[in-house]
Amino acid sequence: MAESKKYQPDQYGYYGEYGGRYAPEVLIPALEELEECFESAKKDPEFIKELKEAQKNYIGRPTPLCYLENLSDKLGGAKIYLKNEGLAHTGAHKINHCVGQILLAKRMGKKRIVAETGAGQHGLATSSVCARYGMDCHVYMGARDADRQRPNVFWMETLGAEVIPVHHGGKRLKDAVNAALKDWITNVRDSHYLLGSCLGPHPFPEINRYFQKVVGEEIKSQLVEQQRTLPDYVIACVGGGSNAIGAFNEFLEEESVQLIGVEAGGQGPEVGQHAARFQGGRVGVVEGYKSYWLQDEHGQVQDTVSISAGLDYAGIGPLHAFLHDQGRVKYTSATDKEVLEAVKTLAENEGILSALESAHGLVEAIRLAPTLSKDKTIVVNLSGRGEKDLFIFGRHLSSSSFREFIERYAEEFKESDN
Amino acid sequence: MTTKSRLAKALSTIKTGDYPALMTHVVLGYPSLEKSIELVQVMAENGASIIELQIPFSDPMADGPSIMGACEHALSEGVTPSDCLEAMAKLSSKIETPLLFMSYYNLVLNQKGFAKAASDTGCEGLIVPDITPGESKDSFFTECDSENLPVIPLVSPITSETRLKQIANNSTSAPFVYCVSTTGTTGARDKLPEELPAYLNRVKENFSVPRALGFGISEKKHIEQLQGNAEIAIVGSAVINLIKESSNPNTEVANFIQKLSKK
Repeated sequence: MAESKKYQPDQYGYYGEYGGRYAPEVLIPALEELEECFESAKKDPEFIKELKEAQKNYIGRPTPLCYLENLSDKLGGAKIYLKNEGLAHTGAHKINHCVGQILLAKRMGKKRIVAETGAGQHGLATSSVCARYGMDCHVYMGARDADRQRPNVFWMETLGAEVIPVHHGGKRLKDAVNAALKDWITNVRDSHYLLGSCLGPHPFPEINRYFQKVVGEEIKSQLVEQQRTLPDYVIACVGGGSNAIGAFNEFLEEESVQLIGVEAGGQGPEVGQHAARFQGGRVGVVEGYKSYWLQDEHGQVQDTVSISAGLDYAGIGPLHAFLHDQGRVKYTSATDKEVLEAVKTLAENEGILSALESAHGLVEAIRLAPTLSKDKTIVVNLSGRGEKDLFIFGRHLSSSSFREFIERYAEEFKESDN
Repeated sequence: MTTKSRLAKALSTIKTGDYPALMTHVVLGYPSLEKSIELVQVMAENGASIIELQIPFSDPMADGPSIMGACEHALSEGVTPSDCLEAMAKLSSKIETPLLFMSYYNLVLNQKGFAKAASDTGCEGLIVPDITPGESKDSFFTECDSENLPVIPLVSPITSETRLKQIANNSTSAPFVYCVSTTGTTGARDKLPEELPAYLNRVKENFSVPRALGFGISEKKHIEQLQGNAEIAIVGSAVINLIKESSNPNTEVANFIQKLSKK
């Protein structure tokens, strides 16, 4: 459908008062070059052809829209559908903007890629496209995140990327973005910063929206095909907000469709115990853009807490801040405990393993469905699959057998090295 | 003399071709608020022509490991932007050396009326690397203008000719232009980039005000190399590193500043 101007950025890259380009002078030429490249690529049939080819044959699009019959029956209300981005290549929606941006990098003649990652899914997708398109790949990851998402670190390295743990600050996603920005500031002449969410200085939020919007477009056509209606609700988890923007974008102008973003409620509502920016965050400018930020009274950015590394972030993409203030999207949150429960529920009832991040959206669907009539439809964007969370699930969900295995395996590993 | 004329006076004595004047830097709160205030006095007494006082921020995008570490330390000391305004007021009443604030935009944005407050304390200019004129709809630049508080423009070696002109036009009241020596964050480096003279010459063609070169200056020989190419040399991380390793920072900083500031 034709996009109206309402949710588009202005000439400075602002959505309402949010977004913008708050970057050091040294990055301005690169941001301008990227913007020009993006604008010309969108109009280039060859670029679109290459993008569509990669979406189909490399990513595996369209990803399925799956009716969760068992879970819907069990909850006894609205029908729940799952948009399974976990079945996209590399296991999450991140590959959508990675493919798009690597094609832009190629167009600009850049050979070196720098990226940040939280849960490792953006890093994994970046490492994969770098291997495929012959680029030198450097991924910054908070040291804490590198530990809790160790499987993704291993695979990134196997794909040829250098993974650099960041020991500053809270050792999380925010610190990884910071470190990646500094790398880009240093190596801006030959590097592209393959930023992994709808955030950062303009034009990054818009670029990632453009490459992610395919998710919502597919949801719409798949649901029309399966039951000839639009959804009544579309729900997605929100860290920086790329999967949610992808799922929501197509429906922004469809006022009948209610959109819900779910933030990380972490350990609870106390300050410093969660990453719910709309519950205690305030307008600020950090990491190149203006949005809601969790910060103290003086403007120092606060540490966050979430079981999901991908949502454990103090800022939120600027379009979300605008959609929040406009009342177009409602934002709720889910706690770590609810999230673990939702992962289990989905696995047991539908045979699908959700990433911890995506399960935040599921929590909201499980809350909402029983309150709605059976003719209502909820679509949850399952942004990623759960295999990466083996060690976290192993600790929280399994019996002692997983722990015993890890201990025994570690012993054997040690011995085999000697 | 009002504080407002100190910077103009200091800059009026600087001539192209002379040995560059020295601009130094502290992170307020490093190693402690008291000691950083003392260090500013030490710098002023030993030859610094301009001193920038950095207000520590949790996420200093343009700073390398030395200053970033100093900011983390200062924040752990509990230093707030209000403490920094008080420190500025105290220092500007004690010393004649012109003082500037350096910080990041989020702190400025969070402190309502920051431009006025800074100006009232005797601060003579702001360096805020994450907001550039012409790129933002915010009222920051006009607020500073109405307080006669200059925002120092920054340029880099990859700033195009067109942008240099734009920046110069957008900052007509700038007392000097801050030239970043290289693509990168702040931090001491072994040598200055070779293309520096050509770059600084391009800056001179677009700006009529003195050029201050920063990022990577850590030794006297760097400053000597700048003679004729820049009117001011900025030393930041090198002093932080010195403080970090020293048991008697005031004396060592005094000696270092003396050595760097005299031909």
